[in-house]
Amino acid sequence: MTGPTFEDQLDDWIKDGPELAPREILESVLATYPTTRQRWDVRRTPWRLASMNLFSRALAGVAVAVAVVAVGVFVISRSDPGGPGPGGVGGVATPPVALVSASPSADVSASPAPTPSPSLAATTGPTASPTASPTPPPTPTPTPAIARCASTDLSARITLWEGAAGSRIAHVDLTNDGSTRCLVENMDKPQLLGGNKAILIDGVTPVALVLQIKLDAGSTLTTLVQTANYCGADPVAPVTVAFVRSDGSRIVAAPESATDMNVPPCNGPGQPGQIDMHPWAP
Amino acid sequence: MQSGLVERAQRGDQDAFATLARDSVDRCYAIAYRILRDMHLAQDATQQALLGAWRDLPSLRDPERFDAWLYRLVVRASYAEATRERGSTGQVEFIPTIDGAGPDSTASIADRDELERGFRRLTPEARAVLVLHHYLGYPLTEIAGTLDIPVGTARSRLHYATRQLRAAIEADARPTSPKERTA
Repeated sequence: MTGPTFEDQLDDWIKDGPELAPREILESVLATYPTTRQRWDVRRTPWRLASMNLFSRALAGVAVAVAVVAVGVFVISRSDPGGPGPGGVGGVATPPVALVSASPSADVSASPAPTPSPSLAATTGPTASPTASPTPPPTPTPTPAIARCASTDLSARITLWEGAAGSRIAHVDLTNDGSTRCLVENMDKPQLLGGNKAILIDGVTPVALVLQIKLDAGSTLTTLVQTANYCGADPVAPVTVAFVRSDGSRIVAAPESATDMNVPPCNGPGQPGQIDMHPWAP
Repeated sequence: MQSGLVERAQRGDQDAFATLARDSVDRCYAIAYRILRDMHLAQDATQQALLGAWRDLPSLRDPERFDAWLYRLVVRASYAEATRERGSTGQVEFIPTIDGAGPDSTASIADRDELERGFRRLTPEARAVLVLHHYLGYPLTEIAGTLDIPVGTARSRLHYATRQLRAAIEADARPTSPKERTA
């Protein structure tokens, strides 16, 4: 009887691993993409065109040109000079309103007004009701500017330390103690600190996509901070974590207890310690 | 059904894209994690791939090929993450949940450690081929289509990646010399 082959072992090993994405990924994507413009491929042709011969392509081109002219003539002949608004072809201005109001992050609308999708513009013309009352142009609702949270209004505390093979993981809460809603970045530079505020492990300043999170007064965000490979001298208790914000200010988390000595084991003398954080999330 | 969602998302339908993203995020993350072997890098790669998917969706010609196209974005984002400077040479290692009642023997755990170390020495391109083949179960033609490379290139990449991994593990398993032991 033969054992598993190398390929079998490799197969098992690669298949073994996380199957579920952390929820922050989807939250972050869903919060970001509505403000991201789609990149329209102007050179794009229908996929069938590539497989058509030259004559068919020319014929298709002529057909498209005729159709464009016909639609143009139709639109000009039907337009009512006394109609609603500039370029008053009833209904054509409506889709952008739907797009604006559908956006779940309308108050992030520093971005310009959405570009109407060609398909929407094409489909709304014929289906517009002739009795529809004129729709006023969309007026984005002004939203009050939300300021960045002052570090003095934020407090952090470690709620739990977890030990794992070779690392220590701190669960940390961040609370807006101020009286108004404000913005925090979802990533900071993490540090592991001794009780004497000595930096035991210094993290890196985030360079990935950093998002702003609106934090209501009294609300809390959470994160996990992972540390590994601390090979220094015994630290002063209580060990805690801190977060250096983009303006250089630092928020030191209150330790779970006054005797915390949660430093990760030394896995590789001579190698730097490691500390990394998850994005802050509600 | 998915191609209908893709077509709607291509026309700018945000709800359709949100559904696609929800349906795809786990698989994208699983692929990125297996290439990068680091949960933070995998998170960033997944996020970048999904945002890139929204941005470039109008250029996707065949909605039926959405999955393969998205996985290509994940692989590319993983390449970018793998080469990006992260400040320190090592990354925080993801500690998977260890099931103490699992059937692994000590020997197989050692094999897994060796595989982990050997795999980390491979180039991102080699890792991606191995992941597409062993995790997604893709045949060479599908790997080639996903990575946008010729089938012959996919074949040789898979061959060399497997060989390099095996060589790395064998080198790792070689007994250390007395000099190294006392050093």
